Amino acid sequence: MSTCLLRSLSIILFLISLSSCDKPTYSKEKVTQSIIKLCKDEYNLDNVQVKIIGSTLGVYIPLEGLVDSELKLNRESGEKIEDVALSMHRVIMSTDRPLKFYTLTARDTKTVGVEFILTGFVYDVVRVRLLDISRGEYHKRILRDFKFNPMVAGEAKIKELFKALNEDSLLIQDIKPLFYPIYTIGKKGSQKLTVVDISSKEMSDQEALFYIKTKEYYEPQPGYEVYRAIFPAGFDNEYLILINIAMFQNPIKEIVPKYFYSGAEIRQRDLKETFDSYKDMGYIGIDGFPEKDLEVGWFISEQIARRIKILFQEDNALKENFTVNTSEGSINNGILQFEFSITSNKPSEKDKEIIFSEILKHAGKVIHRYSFKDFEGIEVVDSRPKGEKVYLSKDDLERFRRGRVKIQDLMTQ
Amino acid sequence: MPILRLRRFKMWLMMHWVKLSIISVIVLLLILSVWGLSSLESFYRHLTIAQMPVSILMAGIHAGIFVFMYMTFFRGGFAGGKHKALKGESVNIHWNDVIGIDEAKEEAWEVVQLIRDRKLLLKIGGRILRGLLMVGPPGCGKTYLAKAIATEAIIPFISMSGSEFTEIFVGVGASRVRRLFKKARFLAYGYGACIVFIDELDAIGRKRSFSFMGGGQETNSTQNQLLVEMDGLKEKDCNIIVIGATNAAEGVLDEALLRPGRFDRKIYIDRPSLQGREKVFEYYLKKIKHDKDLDVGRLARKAVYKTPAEIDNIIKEAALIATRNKKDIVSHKEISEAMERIDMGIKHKRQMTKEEREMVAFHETGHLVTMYILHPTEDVFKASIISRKETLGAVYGQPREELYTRNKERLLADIKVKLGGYVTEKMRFGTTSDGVASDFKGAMMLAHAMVWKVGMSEAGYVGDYSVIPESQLSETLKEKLNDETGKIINACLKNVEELIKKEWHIVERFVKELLEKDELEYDEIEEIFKEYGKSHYPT
Repeated sequence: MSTCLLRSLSIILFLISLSSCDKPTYSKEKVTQSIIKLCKDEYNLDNVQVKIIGSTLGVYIPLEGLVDSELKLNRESGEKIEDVALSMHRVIMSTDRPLKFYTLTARDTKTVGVEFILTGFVYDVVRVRLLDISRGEYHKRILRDFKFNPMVAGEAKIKELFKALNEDSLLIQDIKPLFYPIYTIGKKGSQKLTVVDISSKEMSDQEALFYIKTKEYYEPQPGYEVYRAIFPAGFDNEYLILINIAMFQNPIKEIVPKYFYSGAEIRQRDLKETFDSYKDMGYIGIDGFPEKDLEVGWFISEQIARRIKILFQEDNALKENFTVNTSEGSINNGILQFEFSITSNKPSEKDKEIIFSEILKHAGKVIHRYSFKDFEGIEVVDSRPKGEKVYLSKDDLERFRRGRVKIQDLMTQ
Repeated sequence: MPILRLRRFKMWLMMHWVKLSIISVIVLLLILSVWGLSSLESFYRHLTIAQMPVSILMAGIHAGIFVFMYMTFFRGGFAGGKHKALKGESVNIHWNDVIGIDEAKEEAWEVVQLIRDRKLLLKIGGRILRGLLMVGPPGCGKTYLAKAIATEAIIPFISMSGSEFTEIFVGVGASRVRRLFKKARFLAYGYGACIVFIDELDAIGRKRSFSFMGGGQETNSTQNQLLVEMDGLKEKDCNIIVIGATNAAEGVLDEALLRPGRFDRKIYIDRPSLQGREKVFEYYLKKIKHDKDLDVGRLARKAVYKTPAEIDNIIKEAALIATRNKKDIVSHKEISEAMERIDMGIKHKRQMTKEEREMVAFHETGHLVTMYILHPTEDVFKASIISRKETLGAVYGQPREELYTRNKERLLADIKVKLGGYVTEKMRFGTTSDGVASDFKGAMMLAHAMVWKVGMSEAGYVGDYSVIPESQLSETLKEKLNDETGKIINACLKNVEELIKKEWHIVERFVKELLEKDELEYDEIEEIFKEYGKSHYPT
């Protein structure tokens, strides 16, 4: 009997091992094609685009009507995003490509600038499937952005602007002189500006900076023929344009041309250098894909900043006593930095301690759960005027997490 | 024959359809599992495979618990399914292997013929044999004979012990009987006939009892089911022969079991005779390396009343003793030692004072000399002053041949032997020990029985006075009967005293030998007596 049982068991195990002796379902060479195929075959979504940047997988889907008239996420679009996310999850879990992060960007083609971005850690997807983490915890680990992207909206505005310039629209007559020198030296109606290249940077939630290269054509006004020597027809020009999408009527906040007239002479600025000197606040490019390979430090800092917000908004006791205005996270030179602006609804002496304590506790917990070690310390800054700042080394943070150091001791340092 | 083969195949299918169904379902599930696994994406496949050992373990535990609960509460425990059937040729006990019970064999051979010639019997219109009851002491070869019947008749054989049917749950035994006969019917269908052997039949075949408290219900229901099943063996439908074996007296069994149509035939299997024992010794000695000069006849004479199983045990024990003594072959000495060990138990040397040891030696010598010279039917085969179990010494007598009755002379000799120890102690030491208590008890019982029960008193009181209620016996009669009992004892005592006095020199010699050697064997005893020109009581 026992021999028979052993024999049966060994046959079962042999057959099972045979069935597992194959390649991963989605080979590393075909990750992008696999996602596209899955979306197309199973969900009839044929406009999905996929790009891999290092170990980050970027998926982009343009959707018509991502938001409804009340600017809320459309139910149908939401379902499509879920379908794409599921396809993406299936592939990243069953491939031999070592992927670390994924981003899924859905942009509205109708209401330009509206986008929904999901950013996550691949291992979290595996862990939630293995029930190693709860679904609630998993959702907290995903970076969710549903916003109006100033870059996307701004680019459309800029294209509209140049179109209006070329059409000599009445609406832009006031700003024409800002496009120096073509509207100063050219004959009226002879100007033609062709946009060669647009680069953009997200300056904040509402502002985007654009660096535009153009080729410009014109007929000189009588008396300005000599300028042909400096600005021949089809000369290269550059502009920096700052767009603020909060200004619905006129989102163009500032236009800076490369050339300018000063002191009876024509001068020029290095706009490229100026553009490069600004820091890009966003991580998804104008094409819908990550601009660079995402890093664990950055991901954790972003996640902690968002979780702090969620904590103060969801915890009953904290919600009643505090209001979170801003909470931002970043990692610079190995230091995890968190800037927050949290105001107290019922001010008391203990407020500072509670806020710092909760933030540090939460940060320590997240860092510990990810077993993240690649940082020197953590800096928590109250960004309000006269706000305090607390710095903890990696070891101190661990001690605080374990309850070996009290917040009072940290605040007095 | 092709029909019989087809029947066997059908029978096999009928018997194993559950197993076959389970195996088919398992194979199908296995194929589906592998197919299902390979259709999964690699992550989920690996996940499933990783969980599989635990799943299998958990499934195994659950199945085990389920089976245990099911077997315990619904099938009466795991012992329920142990009636394994053997084909006739697989039983492998041949007719020639059954030895020492020739008469029983002759009767059993008729049974074999009846099974073999069933068709012929049906043609003539004779009644088919349904049951055969083997009665006899344990170890005499009842099971062996049943197996031999199965081998000779070339039919399957199912064996179960009566105790295997009994459970505390009412109805379990009955269900086991049903299952046993269901299986037997299958086998009879496939092989033409089948033997169901129920050993220790008395466990379920005792006279049914009815109690208001409900006791004995299980045995009753089991027996009822057995009766029903035996009645259900319709002559045309199946050829099942039920062989029951019991060492209980025939009266113990329920009358319903013994009526014609159930256990029609009864074979009494007794202990083997002298010739039988010789054959049994020869048979078992063949299985071991032994001294070629071994006198089988002498061994057989020494092993009076021994069953074949006991003889088998003696030979096995002798082989063990030979191995322990680093001997290549088994000789008479080892067999003799094995007999002693089995009959008398293991030696247990107690520390005794010189005086006490001497007293024991005189006591045992008294028995020895009395038995050798006065006993008409028994030989002394050993005398010992080594303590075994509760005794400090013993003289082992052995009947020279099977005797099934005891005459007056023999009974008197038995009393005299018992008194021998007392007489010798008194003559040597002028006092006696309490070692005589059991001897006196035995002697008195014998004398009492002689007078009160079997009419052997000198006064001529004939009849069994013990059956008359004591209140109906006159005091005078009781006194007279008791006087007669006393006379027998006194006469025997006088006889023994005369003998011991006369043979005191032999007594002293034996005492000396016993004190030196602790034990004296049959040969040594014979030699000493011959030395003094003494021989056995003339038979």
